[in-house]
Amino acid sequence: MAINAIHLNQMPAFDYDKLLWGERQIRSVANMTRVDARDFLALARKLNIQPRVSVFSLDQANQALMAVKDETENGSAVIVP
Amino acid sequence: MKAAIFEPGKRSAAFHLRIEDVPRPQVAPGYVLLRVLACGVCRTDLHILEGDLPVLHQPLIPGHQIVGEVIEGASASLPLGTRVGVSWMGGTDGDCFFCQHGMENLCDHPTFTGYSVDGGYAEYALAREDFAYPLPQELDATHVAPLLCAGIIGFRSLRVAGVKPGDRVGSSASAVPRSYRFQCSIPGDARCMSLRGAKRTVLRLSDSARLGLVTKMPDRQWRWTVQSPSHQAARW
Repeated sequence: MAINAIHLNQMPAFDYDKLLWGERQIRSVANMTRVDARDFLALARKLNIQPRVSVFSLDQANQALMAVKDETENGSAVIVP
Repeated sequence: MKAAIFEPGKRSAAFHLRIEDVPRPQVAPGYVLLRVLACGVCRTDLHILEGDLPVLHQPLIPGHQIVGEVIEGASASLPLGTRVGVSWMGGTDGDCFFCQHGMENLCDHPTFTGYSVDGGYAEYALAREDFAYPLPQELDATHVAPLLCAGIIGFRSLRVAGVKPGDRVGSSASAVPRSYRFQCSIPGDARCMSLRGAKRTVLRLSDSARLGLVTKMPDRQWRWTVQSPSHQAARW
């Protein structure tokens, strides 16, 4: 299992017998490499990945942040200057 | 140029950024100046602005999912007008142990776009030429911007988790917008589903067969996934 989070307040306690015994593996994910970027962008092109987006102007940057914080939009917030 | 500026200590409770006119960045050797076409908003931006992460640079222009057009500093590899993407890793030292061993993501002296250097909440942005990725024309700026962090680092998560075609993948993506279609990023016949928090449980399963996978999950793993607070990709 991979955990991709740049910030966590804390990890919850795990029940060893039920969750960790059995040589489970937990790995964190830190940043990315240029190889990741190039490989994924090639894949995005191949699969034509089109995420749903909500567009905000630069003047609306604070609203865009609040939309992410409050999860009020049904798409990724994107600022278009 | 117009930019969204963050200065710790000068934010109000509700608004983190001031919209101001600031000098346009000056291009330097090894860098390209971009006219920003779009910049995705990431929850990491909120972590920076809300003080969850230490201040590395101020005043700061946030934003690390930049799609821009090269307008200065063009080179043979990035001609004038090239549309590029810039992500969270804005640069590395290239000679530390990690860089020398294929782990530049862990570089001893990294540059983080929109965190340790100014990012893309602006009309123009500066980027290291060797960390700017030419973008295929098929991907328009607005829709490719969110892929530059959520997509790339989500993809890395799958690699780190060792996901292979044919595997079943669960994703608990509380920090990822609802539109993030995890299954789209899997090549081959990997069978995927997205989970989103304990209340919503299952997000956008593309067919009943995938829905069936949920019921086949062992209870302990199901509980573990939906109760987890962060974005995760899990094999089982």
